[in-house]
Amino acid sequence: MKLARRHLLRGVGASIGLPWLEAMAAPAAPPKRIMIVYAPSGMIMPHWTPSATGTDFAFPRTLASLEKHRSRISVLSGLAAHQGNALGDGAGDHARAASAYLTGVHPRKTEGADIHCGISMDQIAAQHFASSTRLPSLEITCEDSRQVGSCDSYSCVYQSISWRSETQPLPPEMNPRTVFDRLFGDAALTPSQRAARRSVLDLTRAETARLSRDLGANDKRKLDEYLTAIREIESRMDKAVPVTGAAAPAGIPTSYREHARLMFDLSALAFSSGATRMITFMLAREGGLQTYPEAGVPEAHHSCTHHRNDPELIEKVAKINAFHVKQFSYFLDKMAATPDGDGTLLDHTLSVYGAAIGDPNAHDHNNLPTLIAGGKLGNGRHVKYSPNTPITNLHLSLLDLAGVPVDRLGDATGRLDYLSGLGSGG
Amino acid sequence: MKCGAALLIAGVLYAAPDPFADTVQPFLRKNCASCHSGTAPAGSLAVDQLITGAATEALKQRERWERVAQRLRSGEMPPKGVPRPDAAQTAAVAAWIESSYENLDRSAPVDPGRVTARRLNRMEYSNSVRDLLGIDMNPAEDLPVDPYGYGFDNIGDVLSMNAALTGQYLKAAERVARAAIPIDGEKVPATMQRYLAERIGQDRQLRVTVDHVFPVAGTYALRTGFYQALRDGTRVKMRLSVDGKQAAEAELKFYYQIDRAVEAKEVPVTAGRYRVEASIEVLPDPPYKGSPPYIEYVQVYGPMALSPTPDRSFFTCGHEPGKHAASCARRILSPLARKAWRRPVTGNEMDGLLSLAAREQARTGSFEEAMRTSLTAILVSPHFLFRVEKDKGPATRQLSGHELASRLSYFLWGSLPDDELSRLADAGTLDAELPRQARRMLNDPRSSAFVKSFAGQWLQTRNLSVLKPDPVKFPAFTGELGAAMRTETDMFFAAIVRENRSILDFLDAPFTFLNERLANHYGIPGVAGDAFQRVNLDGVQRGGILAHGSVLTVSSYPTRTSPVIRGKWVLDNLLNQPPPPPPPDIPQLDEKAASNSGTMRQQLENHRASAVCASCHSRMDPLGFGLENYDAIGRWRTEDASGVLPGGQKFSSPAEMKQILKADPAAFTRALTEKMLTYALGRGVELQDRPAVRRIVDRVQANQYAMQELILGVIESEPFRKRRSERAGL
Repeated sequence: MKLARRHLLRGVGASIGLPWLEAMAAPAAPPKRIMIVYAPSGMIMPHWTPSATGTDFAFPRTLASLEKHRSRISVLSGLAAHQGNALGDGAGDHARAASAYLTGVHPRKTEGADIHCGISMDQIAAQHFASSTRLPSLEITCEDSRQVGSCDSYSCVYQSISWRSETQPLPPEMNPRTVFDRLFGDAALTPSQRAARRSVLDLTRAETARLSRDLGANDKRKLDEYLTAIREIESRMDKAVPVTGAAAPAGIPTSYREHARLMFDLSALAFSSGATRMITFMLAREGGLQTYPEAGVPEAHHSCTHHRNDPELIEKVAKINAFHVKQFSYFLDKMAATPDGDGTLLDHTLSVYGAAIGDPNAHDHNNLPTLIAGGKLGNGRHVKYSPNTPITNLHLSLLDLAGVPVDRLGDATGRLDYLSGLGSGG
Repeated sequence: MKCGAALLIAGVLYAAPDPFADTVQPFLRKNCASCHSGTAPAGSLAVDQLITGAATEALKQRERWERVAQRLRSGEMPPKGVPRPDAAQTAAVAAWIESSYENLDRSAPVDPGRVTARRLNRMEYSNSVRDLLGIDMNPAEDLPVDPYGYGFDNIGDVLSMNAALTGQYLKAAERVARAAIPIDGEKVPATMQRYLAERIGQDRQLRVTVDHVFPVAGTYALRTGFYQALRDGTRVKMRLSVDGKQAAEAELKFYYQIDRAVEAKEVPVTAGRYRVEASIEVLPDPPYKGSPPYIEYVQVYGPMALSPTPDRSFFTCGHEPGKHAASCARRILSPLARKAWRRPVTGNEMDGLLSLAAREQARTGSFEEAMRTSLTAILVSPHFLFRVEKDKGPATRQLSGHELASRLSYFLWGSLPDDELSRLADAGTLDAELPRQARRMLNDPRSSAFVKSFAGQWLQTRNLSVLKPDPVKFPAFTGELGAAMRTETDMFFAAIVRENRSILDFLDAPFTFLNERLANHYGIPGVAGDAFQRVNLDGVQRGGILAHGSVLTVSSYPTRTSPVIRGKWVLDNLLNQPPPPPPPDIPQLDEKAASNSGTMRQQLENHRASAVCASCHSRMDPLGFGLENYDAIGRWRTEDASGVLPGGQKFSSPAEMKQILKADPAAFTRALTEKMLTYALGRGVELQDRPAVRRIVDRVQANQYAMQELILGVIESEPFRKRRSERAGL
C-alpha cells in the first residue's frame, strides 16, 4: 500500500506521509474531486460543437487536442446560464456571466455597495469536503483584475465564479508561488513557529469576535469574514501536507502557456496529495486584456470577441479557444498519467470545461460550450439538451456524483438526464 | 431637505417671471411629450408626468429631470428626423434643470453617509508597516491585487476578507516581525534569486532594474551578466548598484570565452526593499557597430553574513540587547500598539498582548522571540487590518479625533497617522486644524502615495504595467518607456498639487516632465539623461494629460488606436459621465477593423446612422477623433483629428478639442470632485452626496480652481468628517 502510494505520487513529483492522510486514503475508493475549468469571454460555437450527437462524432477544430481523450470526455450542448442575461439590468454580460455560472443566481448590479449573488456549487462541495481535506477549495486564475476601472459596469468582485456566500465572492489567485504556499506552506513551519502562530491566532480571534459584536450590519459582515477566516486557518494547521520533490514555483511565468500549465500542475499536485478536493480555475478573466502571442493573437482577448462576424476576428477568437483547450488537454494527460487507487487521478476527478458565454458577439448565455471529463462516467458522447436547460442542473448532478448532499442550487430545475443513474463508481 | 428645497425654489421662482411655466413646460410639451408620454413612453421616460403641477413638485423627480437635461445637453434629444428646437431655447431648458438642482443642493442639508469598515489594501498595508517600524520592505508585494469598486481599490464594501488572504496577511506579518526584530546569531538561510530580464519585461535593455526584498540586514552577493556575441576585443563597462549606490564596476574585454558577468561579493544591505540596477555600456575604443549587448539577468544571493544590528528605536528599553527586563515588554509594545491601531489602547487590549508576550517568553526562553510574536499579533489584529468606525448612539456624529486622523492620513499618505496627528487627536483639536495639517501633509514626501494611488487610478495610468502593446507593431514600447510615461503623469499631478495650480491645468498646461527617453518618444529636443526635468512646452502638441503618452497608451488597443475607447476614457474620467456599455447584440458594421484609420473613421461614422449606436457614440467618437493625432503609444502623427460634438461644436485638432473641454470648467470640476471624494471616503458617491459635492465645486470655482482648495474642500466636507448612524434616518 505504502509502496503503491509512493509510486503514485512520483507521477506528480511529490511524496507525502502524515498520519491523517494515511487515514484518509484508507477507504477503498479514493475521494471524488471536482475540477471546474472556466474559459472566459465565450467561444466560436461552430468550431466547438460537434455536428453529430451520440458516440460517433467528429471532433471540431477547437476540441481537436482532446481527441486522444475521446473515451474520457463528453460534450454537453444546449445548457444555459440564464441568470447571466440582463433580465432588465442592461449591459454587463461579462460580469454576470462569471458570477452566475456556478451560482445560478442573478447578481445584483452594483459598483460596490450591496454586493449580492448566491453560493456557488464549488463552495457547497467545499463545505462538504472541508473536514476531509486541508483546503476546502482552491480558486486559481491566470489573469486577475489588475486593470483599473469598473469591470463591465459592475464591481470587479463579480469577476469571481466562486461565491462562498451570497455576499462573499472568492477572488482567484494568480501567483503560482502563493498557490503552492497555500497548499503546502504550513508543513514547512517548525513546531515552535506553529505554536507561536497558534497563540497569535488565538488572541486575534478573541479580539475580532469582541470587535464585531457591536457593529452595524455591513461592518459586522466584514469582521465576521475575518473571524471565519481565522477559524479556518486554525483548523487547517492540523492538516499540513508536506511536499518533497516539487519545488515552490518562483513566481508568475511570462508565457501564458507556461503559466496555465504550472497552474494545472499545481492542481494535479493538490488533488494527488489530498490537499484539496475542489478547484475552480478561471483560465483568464471575463472580458479581459490577456493577449495570446503564443497562439498567434497579440491582441487583447476581449476586443477580438466582439467580432461582428468579421472572419478575421472570428479566426483570432477560435485560435484562443483552441489554445485554451489545449492547455486543458495537457491537464487531462497529466491526470490520466497519475495512478490513484484502482485507477488514475482522472478516473477519480470530475472535471468540467466550459464557459458562461456561447457566441461572444451576442453575449449568448443560452447555448454554452460545456464538456465533462473523467470520473469514469462512461463518456465519449455528445449529448444535446433541450434549449434552456439550466447548467446548474449539471452542477447538481456533479455534486450527487461526488457524494455531496444538496437540495437546490440557484435556478436549477433538476438533474441532467445523462448523468443521473451513473452513480459513484459507475 | 424637502422643506429647504421648497423654500429655495419658491424664492427663485416668485422673484422672477416663472421660467418653469413660461419656458420649460411649453418646451417639453412641444418637443418631447408626443413620444414621452402615456402608459408606454419612449425610453420609459414620461415627461408628461414631469410637467403637470408646480415646479417644486416636479423637481422631486430628480433622476428623470437629470436624464432630460443630459439628453438635451448632449444633443441626443430630440432625435434626428424630428424638427429641432431652437438651440438657445434647448440650452435654457437644460440650464434651468441644472441650476434648479444646483441651488437645491446648495441649501440642502448634507448627509454624511456611512462608510463600511475598510480592510487595509496592499499599498496601505505596506506604507503602514513602513511608518510603524521604519522598514521599507513592501510586505504586501505578495498579496493579491485588491478588487476595484467605483474605479478605486480602497472601497470598504468591496474589500473582502477570506482564508486565503488572511493566511497571506499572517505570513507577511511574521516576515515583518522577523525583519524588524533581529536576533543576534540567528541563522537565516541564504537564498538565491535570479531575475531573468526577459521574464521581467526588460528584455534586451542596456539597463535592468529590479526591486528586491532583502529579508534581513547582512551582506549579499550580487551578480549580473550580459548576452551578445561581440567582436573580439570589444570593451564593455558593466555596473551594479543597490539603492543608487555603486556596488561593482568592471571593464571587460570581450573574447570568445570570457565570463560575461560582474559580481559584487559582499554588499552590506539593511533589511528592506531596494532597487538593484545593472547596466552595460560598450566603450568607444575600438569602435563597435554590431548589435548592442544587453543585460541578461540580475542575481541576488544571501545573506552571506548577518549584520550586527543595534536595536531599532521602537525596540529600546534602556538595556543591552539580550538583557531586557520583563517590564520592557510593556514599554515596547504599548507605543507600538497605539501607533499601529491608530488610537489609545485599552487596558484589556494591552493585557491580552502582554500575556501573549509572557507566554511566548516562557515557551521559547527568548525575549526577542516573544516580541516578534507579539508584533505579529499587533499586525494581524483587526484593529490594525481594518479601519472600523463604530456607531455611537442613534444620531449622526462627528468622527473622533483619532478616526479623523486616520481618514486624513490614509487619504493623503496611504498610511497611518504620524505623531503630530495623533497628538492633535488626543487633544481634540484636529478638526479645527484641518487646513494647516492638510497642507503640511501635502508637503511631506509621504504624499507621493496620494499622487501614485489616486492619480494612477483616476487616470488609469496604473494600467501601464498590465497593458501589452503589440511588440511587433510597437517595438518602441518597452517596460522602461511605460515606466517613464507613468512618471511623467505622476510628476505632473504632483506639481499641480504642490504648487496649488489650477485643476484646469489637467486639461491643458504649458509644461510637463520628461527624461531623454520620453522626450525622444515625443520628438521634443534638448532633454538629456535619465532624470526627469520640468520642460516648458512651446508647441501645442503635449499640453495637459490628454497629450501624455500614459493616457494615450492606456486608452488604446494593443495594436491600434481606438477613438471609441479614448472618447469613453474622456467621458469616464474627465467628465464622470460614463456611457452605458454597448448593447449585447452589436449590429454589424460593414468595414473591417483596420489599422488604416481612414477606414476606421468611416466605419465609426456609421454609428451615427443607427439610433441605438448614436445615442452614445455621437459624444464618444468625436472626443476620440480629436486625439487621432497620437498613435497607440502616444507618438505624434499626421492624421485627421477633426470632429463635431452633438451640440454642434467643431474642432480640427487636439488643441481645439481641449479648448472645448476647457470651456465647461464646471463639468470637469464636478467630475474630479466626485472622483476624489470617492477615493477619500472609500465608498461610492451617490445621489444623496450631491449637496456635499456642490459645496466643494462652488468652493473650487470661487478660488480660481486651485487644486488645494479641492483637496481641502473634500477634507472639510461633512461626509469626510462625520458619520451617520445606522439607526439615523435622513
